[in-house]
Amino acid sequence: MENERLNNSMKLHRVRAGLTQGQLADLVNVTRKTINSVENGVFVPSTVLALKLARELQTPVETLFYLPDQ
Amino acid sequence: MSTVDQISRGRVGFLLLNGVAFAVWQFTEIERVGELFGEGVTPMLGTSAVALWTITLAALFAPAFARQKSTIEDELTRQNRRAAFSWGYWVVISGAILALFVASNIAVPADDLLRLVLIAGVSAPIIRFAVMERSAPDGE
Repeated sequence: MENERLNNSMKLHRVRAGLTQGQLADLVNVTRKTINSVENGVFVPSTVLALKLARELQTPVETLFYLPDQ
Repeated sequence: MSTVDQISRGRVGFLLLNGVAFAVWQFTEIERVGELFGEGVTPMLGTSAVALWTITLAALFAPAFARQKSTIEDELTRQNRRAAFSWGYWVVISGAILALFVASNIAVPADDLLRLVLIAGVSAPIIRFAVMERSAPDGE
Protein backbone atom coordinates (compact mmCIF):
# COMPACT_ATOMS: atom_id res chain seq x y z
CA MET A 1 0.00 0.00 0.00
CA GLU A 2 1.38 3.38 -0.96
CA ASN A 3 2.01 5.83 1.88
CA GLU A 4 -0.21 8.88 2.10
CA ARG A 5 1.69 12.03 1.23
CA LEU A 6 2.20 14.57 4.00
CA ASN A 7 4.00 17.82 3.29
CA ASN A 8 5.95 19.59 6.00
CA SER A 9 7.83 22.77 6.75
CA MET A 10 10.16 21.09 9.24
CA LYS A 11 13.42 22.29 7.76
CA LEU A 12 12.27 25.91 7.65
CA HIS A 13 11.17 25.87 11.29
CA ARG A 14 14.21 23.88 12.44
CA VAL A 15 16.64 26.29 10.80
CA ARG A 16 14.64 29.22 12.18
CA ALA A 17 14.97 27.68 15.67
CA GLY A 18 18.73 27.42 15.13
CA LEU A 19 18.81 23.65 15.50
CA THR A 20 20.68 21.00 13.54
CA GLN A 21 18.98 17.72 12.64
CA GLY A 22 21.05 16.01 15.31
CA GLN A 23 20.05 18.50 18.03
CA LEU A 24 16.37 18.22 17.15
CA ALA A 25 16.69 14.42 17.09
CA ASP A 26 18.13 14.48 20.62
CA LEU A 27 15.29 16.73 21.83
CA VAL A 28 12.56 14.37 20.62
CA ASN A 29 14.57 11.18 21.32
CA VAL A 30 14.88 9.79 17.81
CA THR A 31 17.82 9.32 15.43
CA ARG A 32 19.01 12.02 13.04
CA LYS A 33 18.05 9.72 10.19
CA THR A 34 14.42 9.90 11.32
CA ILE A 35 14.48 13.71 11.30
CA ASN A 36 16.13 13.65 7.87
CA SER A 37 13.52 11.17 6.56
CA VAL A 38 10.63 13.27 7.91
CA GLU A 39 12.06 16.47 6.42
CA ASN A 40 12.44 14.82 3.03
CA GLY A 41 8.91 13.41 3.12
CA VAL A 42 10.22 9.84 3.04
CA PHE A 43 8.72 8.97 6.42
CA VAL A 44 5.36 10.09 7.83
CA PRO A 45 5.79 10.44 11.61
CA SER A 46 3.33 9.19 14.19
CA THR A 47 0.98 11.67 15.86
CA VAL A 48 3.07 11.53 19.03
CA LEU A 49 6.31 12.35 17.20
CA ALA A 50 4.59 15.11 15.18
CA LEU A 51 3.34 16.70 18.41
CA LYS A 52 6.78 16.44 20.02
CA LEU A 53 8.38 18.08 16.98
CA ALA A 54 5.79 20.86 16.99
CA ARG A 55 6.40 21.46 20.70
CA GLU A 56 10.18 21.62 20.30
CA LEU A 57 9.93 23.91 17.26
CA GLN A 58 7.27 26.02 19.01
CA THR A 59 4.96 25.77 16.01
CA PRO A 60 1.37 24.52 15.69
CA VAL A 61 1.44 20.96 14.39
CA GLU A 62 -0.85 21.85 11.47
CA THR A 63 1.68 24.48 10.35
CA LEU A 64 4.49 21.96 10.54
CA PHE A 65 2.60 19.19 8.73
CA TYR A 66 -0.09 19.70 6.12
CA LEU A 67 -1.84 17.78 3.35
CA PRO A 68 -0.62 18.43 -0.22
CA ASP A 69 -3.95 20.01 -1.26
CA GLN A 70 -3.88 22.57 1.56
CA MET B 1 28.64 12.26 13.75
CA SER B 2 26.91 11.65 17.09
CA THR B 3 27.40 8.52 19.19
CA VAL B 4 23.89 7.34 18.34
CA ASP B 5 24.63 7.70 14.62
CA GLN B 6 27.90 5.80 15.03
CA ILE B 7 26.18 2.97 16.92
CA SER B 8 23.38 2.90 14.36
CA ARG B 9 25.93 2.73 11.51
CA GLY B 10 27.82 -0.02 13.34
CA ARG B 11 24.65 -2.02 13.71
CA VAL B 12 23.95 -1.67 9.97
CA GLY B 13 27.42 -3.04 9.21
CA PHE B 14 26.97 -6.01 11.55
CA LEU B 15 23.50 -6.74 10.14
CA LEU B 16 24.86 -6.75 6.57
CA LEU B 17 27.74 -9.04 7.53
CA ASN B 18 25.38 -11.29 9.48
CA GLY B 19 22.98 -11.69 6.56
CA VAL B 20 25.75 -12.30 4.02
CA ALA B 21 27.63 -14.71 6.32
CA PHE B 22 24.49 -16.77 6.91
CA ALA B 23 23.84 -16.98 3.15
CA VAL B 24 27.46 -18.00 2.41
CA TRP B 25 27.42 -20.57 5.22
CA GLN B 26 24.23 -22.19 3.92
CA PHE B 27 25.40 -22.04 0.29
CA THR B 28 28.57 -23.93 1.17
CA GLU B 29 26.44 -26.68 2.74
CA ILE B 30 24.78 -27.34 -0.62
CA GLU B 31 26.34 -30.42 -2.22
CA ARG B 32 26.58 -29.02 -5.76
CA VAL B 33 28.25 -25.82 -4.53
CA GLY B 34 30.92 -27.97 -2.89
CA GLU B 35 31.54 -29.74 -6.19
CA LEU B 36 31.70 -26.43 -8.03
CA PHE B 37 34.29 -24.71 -5.83
CA GLY B 38 36.32 -27.77 -4.95
CA GLU B 39 36.75 -29.80 -1.79
CA GLY B 40 39.46 -27.58 -0.34
CA VAL B 41 37.86 -24.17 -0.69
CA THR B 42 34.24 -24.86 0.29
CA PRO B 43 34.78 -26.15 3.87
CA MET B 44 37.17 -23.27 4.57
CA LEU B 45 34.69 -20.76 3.20
CA GLY B 46 31.87 -22.39 5.19
CA THR B 47 33.85 -22.37 8.45
CA SER B 48 34.81 -18.73 7.95
CA ALA B 49 31.18 -17.84 7.27
CA VAL B 50 29.98 -19.64 10.42
CA ALA B 51 32.63 -17.84 12.47
CA LEU B 52 31.68 -14.47 11.00
CA TRP B 53 27.97 -15.15 11.50
CA THR B 54 28.56 -16.10 15.17
CA ILE B 55 30.74 -13.04 15.81
CA THR B 56 28.26 -10.63 14.20
CA LEU B 57 25.34 -12.23 16.03
CA ALA B 58 27.17 -11.82 19.35
CA ALA B 59 28.08 -8.24 18.43
CA LEU B 60 24.45 -7.38 17.67
CA PHE B 61 23.53 -8.45 21.22
CA ALA B 62 26.52 -6.64 22.72
CA PRO B 63 25.92 -4.14 25.56
CA ALA B 64 26.91 -1.20 23.32
CA PHE B 65 23.80 -1.79 21.23
CA ALA B 66 21.58 -2.86 24.13
CA ARG B 67 22.30 0.33 26.12
CA GLN B 68 21.36 2.56 23.18
CA LYS B 69 18.36 0.46 22.16
CA SER B 70 15.76 2.98 23.26
CA THR B 71 17.38 5.66 21.09
CA ILE B 72 18.27 3.68 17.97
CA GLU B 73 14.99 1.75 18.07
CA ASP B 74 12.81 4.67 17.13
CA GLU B 75 9.63 4.54 15.05
CA LEU B 76 11.45 4.73 11.71
CA THR B 77 13.56 1.70 12.64
CA ARG B 78 10.48 -0.23 13.74
CA GLN B 79 8.73 0.64 10.49
CA ASN B 80 11.80 -0.40 8.47
CA ARG B 81 11.97 -3.72 10.33
CA ARG B 82 8.28 -4.40 9.71
CA ALA B 83 8.66 -3.53 6.02
CA ALA B 84 11.79 -5.68 5.62
CA PHE B 85 10.25 -8.72 7.28
CA SER B 86 6.96 -8.32 5.39
CA TRP B 87 9.03 -8.24 2.21
CA GLY B 88 10.93 -11.31 3.45
CA TYR B 89 7.64 -13.15 3.85
CA TRP B 90 6.87 -12.67 0.15
CA VAL B 91 10.42 -13.68 -0.76
CA VAL B 92 9.97 -16.94 1.16
CA ILE B 93 6.56 -17.63 -0.40
CA SER B 94 7.98 -16.94 -3.88
CA GLY B 95 11.01 -19.10 -3.08
CA ALA B 96 8.78 -21.96 -1.89
CA ILE B 97 6.68 -21.76 -5.08
CA LEU B 98 9.84 -21.73 -7.19
CA ALA B 99 11.25 -24.66 -5.20
CA LEU B 100 8.03 -26.61 -5.72
CA PHE B 101 8.18 -25.91 -9.46
CA VAL B 102 11.84 -26.96 -9.69
CA ALA B 103 11.31 -30.10 -7.60
CA SER B 104 8.34 -31.07 -9.74
CA ASN B 105 10.44 -31.04 -12.89
CA ILE B 106 13.95 -32.11 -11.92
CA ALA B 107 15.43 -34.26 -9.19
CA VAL B 108 16.94 -31.97 -6.56
CA PRO B 109 17.88 -32.99 -3.01
CA ALA B 110 15.20 -31.72 -0.63
CA ASP B 111 17.75 -30.38 1.87
CA ASP B 112 19.37 -28.23 -0.83
CA LEU B 113 16.04 -26.71 -1.79
CA LEU B 114 15.16 -26.10 1.85
CA ARG B 115 18.51 -24.38 2.40
CA LEU B 116 17.77 -22.01 -0.47
CA VAL B 117 14.35 -21.21 1.01
CA LEU B 118 16.06 -20.72 4.41
CA ILE B 119 18.58 -18.31 2.87
CA ALA B 120 15.72 -16.38 1.28
CA GLY B 121 13.84 -16.28 4.58
CA VAL B 122 16.71 -15.34 6.88
CA SER B 123 19.33 -13.44 4.90
CA ALA B 124 17.12 -11.49 2.50
CA PRO B 125 15.09 -9.59 5.15
CA ILE B 126 18.16 -8.95 7.32
CA ILE B 127 20.07 -7.48 4.38
CA ARG B 128 17.00 -5.51 3.28
CA PHE B 129 16.58 -4.12 6.82
CA ALA B 130 20.26 -3.13 6.93
CA VAL B 131 19.99 -1.36 3.58
CA MET B 132 16.88 0.52 4.77
CA GLU B 133 18.70 1.53 7.95
CA ARG B 134 21.70 3.08 6.21
CA SER B 135 22.60 6.50 7.50
CA ALA B 136 20.91 9.50 5.98
CA PRO B 137 23.17 12.02 4.25
CA ASP B 138 24.06 15.12 6.22
CA GLY B 139 21.35 17.68 5.89
CA GLU B 140 22.19 20.08 8.66
